[in-house]
Amino acid sequence: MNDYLKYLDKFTFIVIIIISLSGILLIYSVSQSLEQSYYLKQLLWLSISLIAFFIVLRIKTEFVFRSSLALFVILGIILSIQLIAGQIVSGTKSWLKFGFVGVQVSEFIKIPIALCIANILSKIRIIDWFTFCKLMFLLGIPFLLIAVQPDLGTAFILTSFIIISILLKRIKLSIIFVSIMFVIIGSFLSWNYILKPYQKNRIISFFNPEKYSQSSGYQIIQSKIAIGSGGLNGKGYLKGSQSKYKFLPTRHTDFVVSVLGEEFGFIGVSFLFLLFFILFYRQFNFKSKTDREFYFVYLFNFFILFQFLINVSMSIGLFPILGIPLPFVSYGGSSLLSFFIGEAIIFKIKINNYLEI
Amino acid sequence: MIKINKKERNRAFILFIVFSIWVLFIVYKLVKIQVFDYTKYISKVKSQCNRIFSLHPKRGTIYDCNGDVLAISIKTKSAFLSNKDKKESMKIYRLLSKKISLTNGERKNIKKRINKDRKFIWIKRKLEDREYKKLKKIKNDLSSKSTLGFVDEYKRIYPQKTLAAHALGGVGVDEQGLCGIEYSVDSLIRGKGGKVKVLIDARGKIFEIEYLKQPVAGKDIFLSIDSSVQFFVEKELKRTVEKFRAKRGSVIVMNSRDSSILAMASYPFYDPSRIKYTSQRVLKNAAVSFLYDPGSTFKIVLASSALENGVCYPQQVFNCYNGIFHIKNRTIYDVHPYDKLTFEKIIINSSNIGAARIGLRLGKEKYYRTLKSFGFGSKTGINLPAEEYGILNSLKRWSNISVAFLSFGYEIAVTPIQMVRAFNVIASGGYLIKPNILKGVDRIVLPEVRKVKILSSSTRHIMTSIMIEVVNTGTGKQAKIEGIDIAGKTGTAKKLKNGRYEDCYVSSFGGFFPAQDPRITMFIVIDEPKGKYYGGEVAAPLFKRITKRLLIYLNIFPELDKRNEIRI
Repeated sequence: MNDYLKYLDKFTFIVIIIISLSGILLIYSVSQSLEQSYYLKQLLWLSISLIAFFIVLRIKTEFVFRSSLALFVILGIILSIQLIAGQIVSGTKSWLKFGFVGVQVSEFIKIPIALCIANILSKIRIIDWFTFCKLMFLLGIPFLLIAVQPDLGTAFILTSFIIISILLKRIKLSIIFVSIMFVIIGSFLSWNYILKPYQKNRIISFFNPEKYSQSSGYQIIQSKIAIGSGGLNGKGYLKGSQSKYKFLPTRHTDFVVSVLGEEFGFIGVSFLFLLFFILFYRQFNFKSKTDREFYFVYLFNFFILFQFLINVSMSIGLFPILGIPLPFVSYGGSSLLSFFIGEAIIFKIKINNYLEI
Repeated sequence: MIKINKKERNRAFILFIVFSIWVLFIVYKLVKIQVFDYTKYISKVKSQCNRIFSLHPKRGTIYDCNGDVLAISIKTKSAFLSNKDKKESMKIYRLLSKKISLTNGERKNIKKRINKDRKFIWIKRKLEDREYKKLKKIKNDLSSKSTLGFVDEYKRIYPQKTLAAHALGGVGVDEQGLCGIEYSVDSLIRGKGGKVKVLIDARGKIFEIEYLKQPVAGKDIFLSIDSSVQFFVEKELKRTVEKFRAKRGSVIVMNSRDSSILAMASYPFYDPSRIKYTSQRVLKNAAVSFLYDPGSTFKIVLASSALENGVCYPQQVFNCYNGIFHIKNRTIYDVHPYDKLTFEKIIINSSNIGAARIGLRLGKEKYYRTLKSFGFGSKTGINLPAEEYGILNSLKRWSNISVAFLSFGYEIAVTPIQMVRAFNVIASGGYLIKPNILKGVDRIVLPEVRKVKILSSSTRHIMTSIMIEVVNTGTGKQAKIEGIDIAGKTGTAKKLKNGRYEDCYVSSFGGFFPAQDPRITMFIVIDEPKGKYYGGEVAAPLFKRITKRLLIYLNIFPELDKRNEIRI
């Protein structure tokens, strides 16, 4: 155990802690205008995440990769049960209640998915139809289960795995052509038959928010006003009028970056970018010993990067509004915990490098 | 040991580039929003959460000369809706509208504003006390309490209702003076408005109130009006106007010594608190803006001029041509024909021919100079709005016979306030004094107005004795009161309508008393009385009734009371 701590990348670890704490700082700021004291809950979740982090650090990487499929199946079953139970008891679809805390199972499934994909990719030279089907199965099942909840944001972000996989590994061209066809047909069908009007409105209003300023464009306009009015230096901590006076929607979760932009300005946002840059630089920039470790590190880190960029883009009107939290920063215990567990695996891989060279 | 081939690393590198471009886009957008468009977004924040409200200052109180309140502002509540949900607002409005009185126009307006999704909608300003209580109860039963709100506003109250309405005028919904003294001293009485910045949140709830400027209360105003005098003047005026079914009537009661107005009444009256519902015709203050040909009352100006210029003496005899006098191609008639009359008798019996003869002897230059010195053709400058200048043609525009017609009060237009000032020249001992109604501002007594002597004492004495005779034996007999000398002059003038003199008359009577040491000067105009129309029959009895009350009220002739002649 001492060895683990000795070789733990403490600098990166501290950066993650700083990012998480700055999230709590922002959640505290918006808590004033919310009914609940979310910052205390988040603090509790951070403690749980840290405990989980060190527990995962002790587990052997080999075991993690081997049990990934089992984990995937278990979480998949829980999601299915939830979905069926949700039909009976409405409103409990996405939350698993453990006493006073609720756990969002959909947030955790990304870890076994990343592990399984890493396993698969490490064993092949090129993605052929068989592998592609396996990947689609791995992603498609949870995607559907989550999308039906309906939590389109979380479901959508899972698709980033397939994009990253395709870009990392060579792939048969025919697969790309066929899947592009499927995407076109799929989006046509979902637009006409699956998407709910409010979801469609979000996408329409993304292109013309001013026209829908009182309805579906409201969120994006208020978010931009918040960020824009922060200016270079920001209005000062706890002084953001947009969040204080409740103009900013879901300010503790999806739009937490708007609060940052309002209260700390461009400098504040840049600082957050710097922290994330350090995080990614340190977590990408090392040599993994095995292929599957390499793939896992890249898949998971790109996943975080993807979610981070989507969230920020959403807040400044570069991307339609999807309910996607900012990794480590937004309120949400399951999200925080899942990212800490994923990071723990990467940290473990890094420690292994030191120990066995 | 490292099995990852180089290709995968290169592929990852492409991914990094893609993500880096994405980051660049974000940074570009952030710089644009936060640095270049900063001011735009700041103003958006302000426009959606700052509301600037002006605070009305307390308007000064208007007192009469005894310190009785004529107009005062009291705090009331005004109700407004502040809600983003159209349907909810409409529901609440429907609930409220049954409880308060609103005109159809107001109802329509509120509905229109609700449908337009306005954030702030006045329901009713300046609620009655009972209305406020009802609305407050509704508010307490509402689920979203912030929807219905109240603000403090001042409401102008006229405790004596219609009393002295025309002198007071009235204010608009924002307490701005619209007419009367409320308008003319608006800048003093209004005070300075305050400003308050209110921060509201996304749900329209008020979060923070910041005073940008504290309101300053307006100054109090003291008028020379005496409510008691005003009260019985109005009562008697109303009686006369109604009796003769006249179009309008006006009475001005003035302190002879300093030309301050004790009462100024114009019928029809109105309620200053209901100015919104009062027609322009009724709002017009006839005392300062009714223009008419003065007729015979104007003969006192002629006589004064003739005496002052030394062209006539009281016993001088004039041929009155038995009631028909041809001058150029025009004819002047007398009601009662006379062969010969003395200067005195011409005024006492009100002979038009005699007056014309005096005028012709006096000559137009001298007469014109007197008219100018009496201030005809120009405003008296009393502190009331909408005063008319009157019409006095310049000497160049006088024809050869103009002086004859001007002698008995035609070819000139005057206002009642100009006439009372002219009568007061004789009453005050020969001084032209600007009529005034404003006595003090915030406990500071205004200095007395300047006097200009325009008549000698001898002229004034002769005029007074002639005017006493008018009341004792002449046309003004109906104004006579036993035991006291009253000086007066009647007037009956045909009205000029569409450029022609028609069978419509303006009856008037001016006078002062006690004649030897005048305290009160009064002028009465009754416009278009039906039935009787002579000034001596319409205006003189009204003069008498008011005078009787004044004599007792001002303690000039208290014995009158014992004679039990008065019915109040």
